Amino acid sequence: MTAVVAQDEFFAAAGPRPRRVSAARIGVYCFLIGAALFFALPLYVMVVTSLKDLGEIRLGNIFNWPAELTFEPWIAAWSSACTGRTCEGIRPGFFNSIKITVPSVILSIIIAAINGYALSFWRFRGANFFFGLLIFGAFVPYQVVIYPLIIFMREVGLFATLPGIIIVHTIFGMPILTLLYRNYFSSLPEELFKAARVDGAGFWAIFFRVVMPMAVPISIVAVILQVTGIWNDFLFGLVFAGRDNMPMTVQLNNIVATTTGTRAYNVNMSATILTAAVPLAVYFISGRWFVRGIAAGAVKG
Amino acid sequence: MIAVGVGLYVVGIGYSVALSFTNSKLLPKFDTFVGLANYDRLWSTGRWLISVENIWLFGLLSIALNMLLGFLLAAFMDRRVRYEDTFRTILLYPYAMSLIVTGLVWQWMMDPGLGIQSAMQNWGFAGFSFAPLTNPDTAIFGVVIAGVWQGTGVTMAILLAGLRGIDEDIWKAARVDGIPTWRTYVFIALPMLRGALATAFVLQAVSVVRVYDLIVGLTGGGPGIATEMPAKFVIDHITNRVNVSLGMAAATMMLLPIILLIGINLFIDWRRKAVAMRAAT
Amino acid sequence: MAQVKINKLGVSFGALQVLSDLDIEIEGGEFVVLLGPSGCGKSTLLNAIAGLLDVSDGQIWIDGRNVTWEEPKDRGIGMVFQSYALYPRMTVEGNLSFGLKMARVPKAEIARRINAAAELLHIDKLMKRRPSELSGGQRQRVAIGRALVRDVRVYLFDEPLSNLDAALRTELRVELKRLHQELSNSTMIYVTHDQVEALTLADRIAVMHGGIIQQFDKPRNIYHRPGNLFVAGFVGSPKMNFLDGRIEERSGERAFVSDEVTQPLNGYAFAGNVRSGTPAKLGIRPEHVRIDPDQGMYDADVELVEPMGAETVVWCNAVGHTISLRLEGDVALEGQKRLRISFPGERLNLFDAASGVRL
Repeated sequence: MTAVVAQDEFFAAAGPRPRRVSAARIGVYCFLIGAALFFALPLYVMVVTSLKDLGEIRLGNIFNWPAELTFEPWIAAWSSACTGRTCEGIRPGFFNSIKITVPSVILSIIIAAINGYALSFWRFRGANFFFGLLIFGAFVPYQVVIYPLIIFMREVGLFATLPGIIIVHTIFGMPILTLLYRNYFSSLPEELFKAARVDGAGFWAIFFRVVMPMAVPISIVAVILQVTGIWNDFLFGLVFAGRDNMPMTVQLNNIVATTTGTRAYNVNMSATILTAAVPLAVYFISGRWFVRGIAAGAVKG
Repeated sequence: MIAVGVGLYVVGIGYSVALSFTNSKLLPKFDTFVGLANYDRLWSTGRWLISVENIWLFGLLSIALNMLLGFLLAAFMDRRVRYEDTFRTILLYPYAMSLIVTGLVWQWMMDPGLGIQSAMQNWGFAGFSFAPLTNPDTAIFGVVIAGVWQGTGVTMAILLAGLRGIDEDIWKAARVDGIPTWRTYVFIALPMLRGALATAFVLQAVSVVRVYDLIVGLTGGGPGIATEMPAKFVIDHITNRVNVSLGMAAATMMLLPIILLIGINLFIDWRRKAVAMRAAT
Repeated sequence: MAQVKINKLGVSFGALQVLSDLDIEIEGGEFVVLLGPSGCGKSTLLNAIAGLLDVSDGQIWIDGRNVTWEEPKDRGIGMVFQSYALYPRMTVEGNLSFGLKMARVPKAEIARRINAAAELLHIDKLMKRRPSELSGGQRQRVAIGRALVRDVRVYLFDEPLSNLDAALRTELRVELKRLHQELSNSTMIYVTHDQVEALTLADRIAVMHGGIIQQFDKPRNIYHRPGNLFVAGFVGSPKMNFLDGRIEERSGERAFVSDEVTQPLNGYAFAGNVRSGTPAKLGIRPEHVRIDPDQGMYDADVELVEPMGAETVVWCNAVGHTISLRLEGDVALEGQKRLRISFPGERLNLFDAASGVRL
């Protein structure tokens, strides 16, 4: 008997638990890989389609790697694809989008930071009421305010101009950005603000010297949010930008929707990738910041 | 400055609602008030009725799928998988892309002659059929697929962040208690994710109400008017169709669900405060 | 009686070896406290015993059973966490019963165990409440209750009182001690960084530092006969006073000698043989420094007096060091700028300066 016990002890469990690949584990990976395929597929299809010539596309094998790589569609999409009116490719849209996005982002963030600061640190009368209205504003369907805005822009002579579309983006970015800053500032210790006031700093001194230096992280989030948001906008560009300032998304839709001549699917896909390139680059470079932006942008109250 | 910004919203909304009681066509005119006539007309316009039906179908289906898939993905991602960053990057990138882009890509993928359907048939699955956009009865499901593709990553990211925020000790306690992993997720983690779930839901709901670009890019509202949506109805009526007052009546209707949503939110807040007050006393 | 035995345990996180070659044997029915600063490996050891993290080496035996590869639920343990870890969306009753339901314990048995635990912990009136409606102390009672209903014989506590305020901590500490007395055949392993908890609760204390058990002994010995410099310095507040010097033997009498002091060592119980000239550290607790106007050996200049109610701590400048003294609460030192102090030999602690081991 004793010998058996001793042997048991000798062979008994010791050290790390032997790893067994469980069915559940395999299931987890299968599901994730399946989902990843579903999500990655369109990007893959976009890329391969843009690198094929039309003859190969007509064979109807969208998943196949191009038999012969061609970069012609990319060049065409950039500089010579037709929108029905002109044949300048998507290039003018790209530059228009930059002209719209850069000032809109800067303007909206500056105003929102000041607003958020005023709302959270300087508790003026009715601050809570304004805050409630802001939340409301963040959720209101654009359609409800778009027409009055058209009329207003016409009255002041900014309809279908570059400043006009910039102002529109600034206005519509305001609720969510103000919320973002207000929530961030509210999470800062109020003692900091009190200490600055005891030190004799005023509204603007506190804003520039104390609050803004601490708002760098949230400002990065705000920039990501606004750059992707404004670049991806279609509706406002369509309605407010006017023909000369058409952003890339509108241009893209016009190119794809053009029915004259044969449909150049490869050129369309190249133009689509080009349009998505800027926000995708922002996404891949910013990584975790992008996720934070979503979470922050999604918060309420 | 805030006052001006907020004022603009309030005045704008008021202006839109007021216009819906006039008979403005191309330009706003406040001389003839027609009462609820525009609403009468709206609710007897086939295009609007289909739009409303579509947004319900699209909203319920896409939000349900989105939340279900998003939660499953978040839970699986939370299981200490390898290459988590890679998976997350892949699941989330569609959200970085414009809805117009999403629409155009899926339009191409669902092309009956050259898309997935033909590729599968060329691979030997002769009976394979997947071209929802060509049939008015199924087109809306094509829109749902594209919408879910674009938005699920966000739900996953929000819920995953929520899961990561749960106290590590809770998982340990559940293991000591011998609670199976899936039960821990469903009975313990899920109820703790209420905040994250609400956030994800509101985000999706708002994007459903606003859905416009996706339709323009994917179907243009077609085939026929099979995938028209309220947001598109409004824009079309104030631009191409020059019937501002009808468009504004539709816009006012769109405001209702949002007001309802905020109302529910306020009610929940109020109730939570009431419960907290009771617990405190 | 459930004995817990750890054999040559190793735990590593990636390349970081947190515990290695660790042995400890805990008797059945014993209350053992793992004490140490944060990062010393005490929580890691507890989690390894619970089966909540994978070990890389060695064995864990509970109640005569090798549980090294067992799931936590099969090890016959209950655990209480610092953050309570109550399931927030369930009532107190739900929290207590959930694990039992999962284990398919019959309903009547569940009810019996819950009632017993609730009565023992005075939480019977809270059964329908949610954790968010409980105070910190009540939450921790429920968490203890959740461990109790598992009806096991080894209970693990991971800093259970650290999130409570001082008054509650004292109250629950007393209750935990009472609980252990009532459940006399259950073994308790308790992790804390609070030495008062350790000294009051434990049958034996294992002082840990750097993943190594420095000393495993009765509280009395931990405090009065610390096995090495770390234990001597870690346990006790204010800290033990230390002086650097060497042991010298003069005409058959051994003494501790430095530039400032020559301290005779009669009355000190050496642990073994010590060569003359060995570099050493002399330690003496603040309450053992004696004020002796007539026969005191050293001058001490008073720098600061801290009256603490029950006691008074005096900080002096003496023998080239800052020396602390712990005196009675009502002692009056007004005007006294200089004291004469001495170090009684039987109260001293001597450590090898190189190895830190008690001499």
